[in-house]
Amino acid sequence: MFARIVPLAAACIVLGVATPASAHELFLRVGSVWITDPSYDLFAEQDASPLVLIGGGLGLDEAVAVELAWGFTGGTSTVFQAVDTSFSMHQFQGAVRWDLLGQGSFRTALRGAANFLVGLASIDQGVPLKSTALGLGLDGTVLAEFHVPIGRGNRDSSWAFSMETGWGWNALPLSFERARIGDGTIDQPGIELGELDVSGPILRFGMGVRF
Amino acid sequence: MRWVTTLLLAGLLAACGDRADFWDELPRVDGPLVAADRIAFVNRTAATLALVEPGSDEPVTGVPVQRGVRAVAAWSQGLLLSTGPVQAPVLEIRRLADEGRRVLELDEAWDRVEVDPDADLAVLLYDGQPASAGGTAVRNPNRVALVDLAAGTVRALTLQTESLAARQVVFGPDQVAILFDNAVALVDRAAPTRHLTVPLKLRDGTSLRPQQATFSPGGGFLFVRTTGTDDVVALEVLDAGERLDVAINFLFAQQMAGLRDVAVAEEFGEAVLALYGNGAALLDAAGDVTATRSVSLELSLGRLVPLGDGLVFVHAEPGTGDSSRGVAAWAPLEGRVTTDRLELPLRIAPVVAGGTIFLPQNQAVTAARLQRDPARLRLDLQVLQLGGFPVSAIADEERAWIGLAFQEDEGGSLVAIDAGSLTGGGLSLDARPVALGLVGDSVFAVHPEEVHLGDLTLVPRDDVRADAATRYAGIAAAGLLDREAP
Repeated sequence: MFARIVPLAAACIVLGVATPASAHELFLRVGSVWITDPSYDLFAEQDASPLVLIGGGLGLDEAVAVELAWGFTGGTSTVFQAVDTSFSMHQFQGAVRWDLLGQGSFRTALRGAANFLVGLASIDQGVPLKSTALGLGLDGTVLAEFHVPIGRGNRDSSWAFSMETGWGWNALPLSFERARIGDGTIDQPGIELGELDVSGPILRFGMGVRF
Repeated sequence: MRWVTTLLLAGLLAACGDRADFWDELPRVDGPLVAADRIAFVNRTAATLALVEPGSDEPVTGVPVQRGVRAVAAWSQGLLLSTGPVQAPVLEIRRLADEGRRVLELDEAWDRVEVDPDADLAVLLYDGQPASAGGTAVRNPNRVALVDLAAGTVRALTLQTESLAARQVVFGPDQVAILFDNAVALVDRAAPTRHLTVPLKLRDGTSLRPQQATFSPGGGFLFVRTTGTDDVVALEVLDAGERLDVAINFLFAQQMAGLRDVAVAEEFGEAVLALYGNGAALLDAAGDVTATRSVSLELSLGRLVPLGDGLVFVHAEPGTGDSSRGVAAWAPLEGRVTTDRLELPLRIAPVVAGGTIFLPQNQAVTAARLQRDPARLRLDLQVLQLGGFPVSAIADEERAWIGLAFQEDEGGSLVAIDAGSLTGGGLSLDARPVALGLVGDSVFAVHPEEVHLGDLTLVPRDDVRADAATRYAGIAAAGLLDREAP
């Protein structure tokens, strides 16, 4: 696959192929979010947390596209010598992407997203204590993108393979208010764990198909 | 592009922080502490206070306390915390009902707090252990401080005891007694400058180590059980104007040996009940031997339980096998005693509810009642079968609760027994009830934990059913995400 892409990409650069700036797109982005809130240490030994984002975009015009995506991040750890903890967060994301500068197969863009967040926290010291938090958040990234038309020798193909890297910032607050145990057969007011600020820098690498 | 790469790498390095050591330490959590109808847990490591309010549907929240907690104690209105940096120690007074908070600055970083549960008086002491992390490096065990919680005053004292540590604090109506290794210090509650240290030594120089102490009902005497003698040491507190004075009596009963327990009760006045290896005696505090009332006991018994109305229940030490079967009813003023043996050994300490003594045994509890017949003193024993092994018990005036464990099962149950009808009910628990407590109108079972964060089941005293129960776990984790970084 890569053996085919690399010569194609090189050819595109040389030929200065113009592909649609904001065509429709399906993408998979992976990377990390650095959660700098000290409380995140409850769930992970490092601030960097893996991030996956899967979704699609719809081009509105030559420079603007809207995207919908599902994302996931999380961590696991052992604290207090014997307490297993885990954190996971699902992001349901709506985003707008503005293409900025482009030359040939390279392009830069800004991407702003609004997130509906579902956070799950677990603290297990033999009796698993679990809490779900819902929240809203924002993130913004600067993207550098490189894309290659799909189809050998077809300079006018409307399909392209894209690769991108993005660097930006998450602002994602979550409040874990009622941590509970077991199956809920006994009444539990729960434990308020407090607020976790999942905000931090993001670094993402992505690949996608544009059409 | 170079600046973008540089910025990106700098950002990555800055954000890759390692975890603070706090998370790898075993948390130090105090609790459950019952105060002002609430159950409190203090997480010393996270410097948070979590409160469980029975009957509330609100989740347990964690509020910050001053970092550096060295000691915690519960009193009628709330909690006392000896905390703060060693260089600037404070006593944090938390009133739980109105969320009031008062901070008293201290001159010393005391690491022990004893509080009169029903009054506004606390005693601050040094622990007998070597200085722990956060504690002060130099400690004078002869130093204590009395705190008037209502007035917010602290009075530090130096007591000449030649002891390594204070062992126990006993609150009396007019004085506070502090038991040291080989001495007893008496401090006037109202005027702490009036204090007195009494070395406990025999004429041959042998030091007596206090084991147990109790004030007489009127507060005029302090009765002390010590090692090294079978006599009860009675300290008569004398008011000598500007200072305290004391007269010492060694109380004994003829032919009694092996002092095991002492107790007092209103109806016996300024006298002490003493249990020996071969009998029991009521001893006059002033040493009047003609007032002594003693009885011989054929069984080896370990504890006195005054029941009121001139009756005393006596039982063997629990958990000592076949020798844990002995029980006795004793009416000291009448000189009557009745003994019996339980069918099964006593497993844990008995509890008293409304005049009925509940004696937990393996898969059974015996309800004992003392009755006076014209001819003799009767001890009625009624065995109630249980579906498990008692591991905890508690009682109020109306009923007793027994926490049961099952063999080869992590679960357990909580059984409530009415003291009058001896009928009851119960609920299954998903974990063993290793301890029981009373808070407000509820009873709670404490469950075992690998890491102590607070795990309990709460149920109304008069409605011990699963539908009425409330379950809490990880209580001291409340507010953990909101804690301030040290």
